[in-house]
Amino acid sequence: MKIAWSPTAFSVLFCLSYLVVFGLELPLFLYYPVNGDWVWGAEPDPGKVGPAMAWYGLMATSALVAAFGAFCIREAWLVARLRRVLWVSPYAAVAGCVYYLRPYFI
Amino acid sequence: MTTFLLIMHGLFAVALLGALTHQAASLFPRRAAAQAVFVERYARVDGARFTLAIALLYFVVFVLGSVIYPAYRVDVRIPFEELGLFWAVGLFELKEHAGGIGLGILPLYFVVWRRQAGDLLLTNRRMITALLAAVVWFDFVVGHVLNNIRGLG
Repeated sequence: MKIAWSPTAFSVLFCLSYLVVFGLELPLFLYYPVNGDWVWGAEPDPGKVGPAMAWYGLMATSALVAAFGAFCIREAWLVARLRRVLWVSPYAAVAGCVYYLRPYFI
Repeated sequence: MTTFLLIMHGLFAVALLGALTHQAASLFPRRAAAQAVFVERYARVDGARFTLAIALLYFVVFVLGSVIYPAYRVDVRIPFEELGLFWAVGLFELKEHAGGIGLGILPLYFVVWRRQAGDLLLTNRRMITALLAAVVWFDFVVGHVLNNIRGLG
């Protein structure tokens, strides 16, 4: 059995899920760089030393969602429907990140 | 070790910047060779031939950046916060998220540069390549600015 994988679906879903995962703060895990500890989920562990890093977990969550979708959606079907607007989701994701991060610059 | 990885991160980023800028320039309309100025001659390359190299370079730069990121989080970001340089923290946050999105769009980048994709995808090719180039340029400049404020190692 040939397993079909849609690279277009992966990228589109990655961008959209990144927006949601970042906005709702849903990393798959947190990383504590001082001692190199990993903690599942988004909830900080008060027993760990130092700051927690969520970015690796955000990437992992988005990649998981995108990979699942990429196996479920057919490439030809998606491209036929989004042919003219494939570029929109990455721009939306970057714009969303700028919006989420605006408190740093205000 | 962190300093070595940071330098490698920067050197690979320079190569990526050059290749991606070349490819992005190739997407703009060009005049005939006889009338071409330097910028047009610079853009007269077969952009499709850069695709694999750009994707590989992006991946290498991304992995190197991810490896040295914890050192930034502990040794650089905390002093930034203590100094009240929240705009610098925000710039790095934007750099990391834009870089992550750039990695996520690499499969789509490959699709839009496939030769058989045809002219119907030319807008997608232009927009995706322009975004990737903008992300790489932004990340490169921000990385240098922040390293000038307080470097690693």
